[in-house]
Amino acid sequence: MNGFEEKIESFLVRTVPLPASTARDWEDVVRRSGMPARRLKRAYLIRRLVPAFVIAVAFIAVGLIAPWQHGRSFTSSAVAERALVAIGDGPVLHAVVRTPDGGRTYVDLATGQETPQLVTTEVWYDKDRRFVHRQDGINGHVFLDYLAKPFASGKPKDWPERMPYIPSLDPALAGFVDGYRSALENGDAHVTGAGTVDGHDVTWIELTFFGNEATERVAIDQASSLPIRIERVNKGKIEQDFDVVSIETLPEGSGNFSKPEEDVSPTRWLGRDQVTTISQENAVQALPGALWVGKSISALELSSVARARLMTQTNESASSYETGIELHYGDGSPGRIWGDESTASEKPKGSYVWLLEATISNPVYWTSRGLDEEPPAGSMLTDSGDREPYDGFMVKDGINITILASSPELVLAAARVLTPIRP
Amino acid sequence: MKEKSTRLDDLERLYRERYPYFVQVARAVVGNEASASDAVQDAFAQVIRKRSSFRGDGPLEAWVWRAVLNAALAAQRRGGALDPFELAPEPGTNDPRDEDEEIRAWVAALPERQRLMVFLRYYADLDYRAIATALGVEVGTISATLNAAHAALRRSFSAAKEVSQ
Repeated sequence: MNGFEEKIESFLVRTVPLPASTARDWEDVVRRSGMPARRLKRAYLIRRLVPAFVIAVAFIAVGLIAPWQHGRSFTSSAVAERALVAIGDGPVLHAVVRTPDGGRTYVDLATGQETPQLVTTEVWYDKDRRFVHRQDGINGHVFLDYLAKPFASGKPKDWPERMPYIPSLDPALAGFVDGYRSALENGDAHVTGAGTVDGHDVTWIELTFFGNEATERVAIDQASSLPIRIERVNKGKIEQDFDVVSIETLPEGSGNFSKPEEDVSPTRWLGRDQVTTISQENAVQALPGALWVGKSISALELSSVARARLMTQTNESASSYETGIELHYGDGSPGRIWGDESTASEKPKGSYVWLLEATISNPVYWTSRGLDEEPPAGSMLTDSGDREPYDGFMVKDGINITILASSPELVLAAARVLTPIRP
Repeated sequence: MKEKSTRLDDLERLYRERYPYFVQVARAVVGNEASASDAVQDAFAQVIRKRSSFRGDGPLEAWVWRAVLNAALAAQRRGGALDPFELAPEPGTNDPRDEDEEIRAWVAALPERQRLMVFLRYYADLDYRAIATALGVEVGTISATLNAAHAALRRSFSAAKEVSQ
């Protein structure tokens, strides 16, 4: 925090100081929640009986936490039992899963064919210590790498010091180290039937957690007894699905829990100012190689051309500046970038195509992560799904260009006809 | 039902460890400590009821902050409480420096969401990612907005200095 920010903090704290009061009655919170009295009583008893509970755990831990060590006499969960055997009985889970990256998709400009981007997540989870090491990457580029431990230490590098962090793992994955049997026994998980996933015959296990509001379905390959698909289901709709690339358990004390060497996603401060209307001829001077789609596209006339100063600063670097060029076709006026709340822009009223260009991928123009995600030549990256403004990002002739438009068809049409600006 | 008891315990631990900060931010929104404290109680009651919807994708605390802010805003709208940042400083309690007044005016003029960003940044010491989760917006929005707001305040400082000189 610099001196300027310290002034702000000092003033705010003097105006509204940190109260000296300690926490109020937690039972009052629980009562307000409407939780049944018997649960409240149970919570109270748990706190009072913690010492006895801890001792009891020492005796029954093996039965609760490592059910597979009892052999296979428990027939009510035979499928989960076989899956547990297949992945081993170690306390450390190591898994690699893939999932579609939201709506991020490469679109081939020539054919229009879409290739959804997949995020690969590799996770090591130590059940006993509650350590989680997770790495998320796309196309071999790791964009998230953190080691998390319960409270105080091992939080992500930029995590606030006072902020507790409670590592957790996807319940369906954690199940393989915490034991599906207990979930099956208490009715939170059950075998729902058979099916086929990617040509594999599978048995589906369904996990229900917390008040039947959300469930996860796990497909167990009948041949290998390994999980190959996890689906998160909420109110009957699949919210997210993971393909399990590999899964295994490791012995105590193993797994990759080494501290990440560097912050792979440094905080970036962004800025955009000095927006000035210019002629299309001056656009080429401001940004050599600047692109456009001609004087009109799909009956939308070029309505304005503007130049802007873009600023990027990371945690420890000095500010860097570059020039951005912004072309509006149809509805739109200089200075507006719809979707960026900091500009307080309003939704355009009619059809439009906006071209936002710079020599590097500036997050002001393309706000999601991704300085290292240049789409392959002849394709663009889209991230908007079914939300307006529809977008596309591509690199052409050394120019990074973001296209915002009122329809996905207009985005693709513009991407296909980009050409250097001609007077 | 291990997960249920663990999640409830996590919430209780968070409540006990961070209670003063929740009340501080709520008070900055609501205007008085009693209403702020009530808002925090209501917010935690809400997250207990809704804890099944917490997916573990982000920090639990950021998720709870969202509930606290919503409860505080609801209390503010119900009660019409005084805005602490629009009040004149009480005599003898503040050093009426120009910069203080600049910051006060700056905070008072901020739109609601930007003001919440500032509170979470400076009172709760949350980073941009956690603020984004708490407010349900993209991280880039937080950095861009705070940067723009800081720039505006810096300009205001500079202008004040020029006038005084």
